[in-house]
Amino acid sequence: MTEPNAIPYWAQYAAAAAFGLSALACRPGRLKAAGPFLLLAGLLLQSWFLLGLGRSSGMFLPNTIVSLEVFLPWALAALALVHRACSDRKEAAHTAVILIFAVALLTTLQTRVLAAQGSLVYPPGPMHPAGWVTTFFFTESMAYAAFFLACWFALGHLRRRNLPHTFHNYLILSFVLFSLSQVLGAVWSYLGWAVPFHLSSDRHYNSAAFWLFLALYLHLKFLPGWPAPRRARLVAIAFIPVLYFRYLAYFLGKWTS
Amino acid sequence: MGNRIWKFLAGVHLTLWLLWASIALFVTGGLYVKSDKAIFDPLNQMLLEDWLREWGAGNLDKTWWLPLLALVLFLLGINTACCILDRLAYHWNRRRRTGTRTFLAKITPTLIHACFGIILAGHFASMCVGFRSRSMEFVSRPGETAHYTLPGNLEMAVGEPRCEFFQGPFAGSIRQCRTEIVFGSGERRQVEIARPLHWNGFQIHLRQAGSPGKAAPYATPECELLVKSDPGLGLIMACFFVLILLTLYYYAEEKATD
Repeated sequence: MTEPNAIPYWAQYAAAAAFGLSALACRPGRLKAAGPFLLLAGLLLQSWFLLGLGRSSGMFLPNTIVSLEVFLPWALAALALVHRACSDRKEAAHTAVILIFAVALLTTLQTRVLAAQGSLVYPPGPMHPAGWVTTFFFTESMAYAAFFLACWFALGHLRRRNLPHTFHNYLILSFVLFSLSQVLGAVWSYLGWAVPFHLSSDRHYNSAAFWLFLALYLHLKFLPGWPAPRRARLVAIAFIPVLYFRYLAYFLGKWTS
Repeated sequence: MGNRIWKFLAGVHLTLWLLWASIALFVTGGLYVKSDKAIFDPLNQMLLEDWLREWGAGNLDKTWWLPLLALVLFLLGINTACCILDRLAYHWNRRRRTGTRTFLAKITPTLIHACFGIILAGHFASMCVGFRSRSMEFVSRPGETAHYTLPGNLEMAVGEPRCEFFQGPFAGSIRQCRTEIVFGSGERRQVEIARPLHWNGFQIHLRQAGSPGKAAPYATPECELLVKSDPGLGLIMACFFVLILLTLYYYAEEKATD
């Protein structure tokens, strides 16, 4: 059902290269001034690739664009660009591009594996109403992207002790977006399966655990034994289980099935 | 002594431990659900009490975490309720000194917690109270009209499913299926997949029976009607939405005062 030839993979590779060059701009040198433009170029190339992916079946499927892990570099790059534009500490904000480059490389490899399996495009059907599915995956991916950026800046805070508000604000953004995604997901689950929380889907349990973790973090600020460095350590450590349960385990399951 | 117990019950330290416990149990539960789907699938279509009797008690080695999770969430609900009352009493007594705007900003976290408490209660109500049809109890079959009785002696006649199919790249896959239902009073209504029908306190969902991805091209499948009355659903949806708005308001106010 898929037509892999129609997918503009070149745009995905070029986007990864642009993110890589933009990451080099974090160091002092001639590339420094080009950093934000390379990040923008990467975002535009990734957008072109995602649009091609959404149209690859011969029918435009917006949920394909946002439901795959390959949407993550786009979400990270979009947040980093907005952050860079609004922040008065643009150099610190720009370091996120190193994380974006790493995620872009990993998702490029993953795309090849899924394409080889023929599972890049999920066929449409009445259980997947495009509006709910697309908005759910969009907000969920943006929430995870905000969380991974929080982890990145928490690591930065542990190194230089100068980004306490940055990782905290990303955590709040992640909480709001993830809560919104859970409402949208609950509506979709109710429409499709008659339950707002699917009790036989491990994905829902992991989402509940993640939401509770974000809620737990928000409470820590009110406890005296949890200054910013300790909270930063917790957030940085949480990167590994969240990445595993939301992305790696899911992908490995698809890969080995 | 009573004051110390109250402070403990309403304290953030207890919240922290309960949140850690519920995170651990949700992750553990996810692993069990993934490896034993057959045991947990019926939970979507049964009330918790029935499921515990039929599936849970006999498979305690795989289901032990669910009653424990319910207990931890219940305790979290108690902790949340105590915290709400504690904070509300504190800010209410100081409202004349602080002014209305500050009072509202100060009680926003309390309202957020109230929403969370109601969401928890909504989930418990959804799992424990109301009516849920069993698997394949109400069916719409090609070429048949079936007669059923809902709780409260409400009659309904379920017509055959009629399906539309995709053309082009996904030719033959189901685009939509619908079934006509005639209720005892003579009222005719249609239900479609992912477009449930709300009638007389019941929610009626249409779903393709069996494995939706494995149907033959252009074949009209047998469909199942999931009939529910769920008192918790509205609470969960409304309070989650209000919780998001209140969180946004709270952090916007916090940023403004910074």
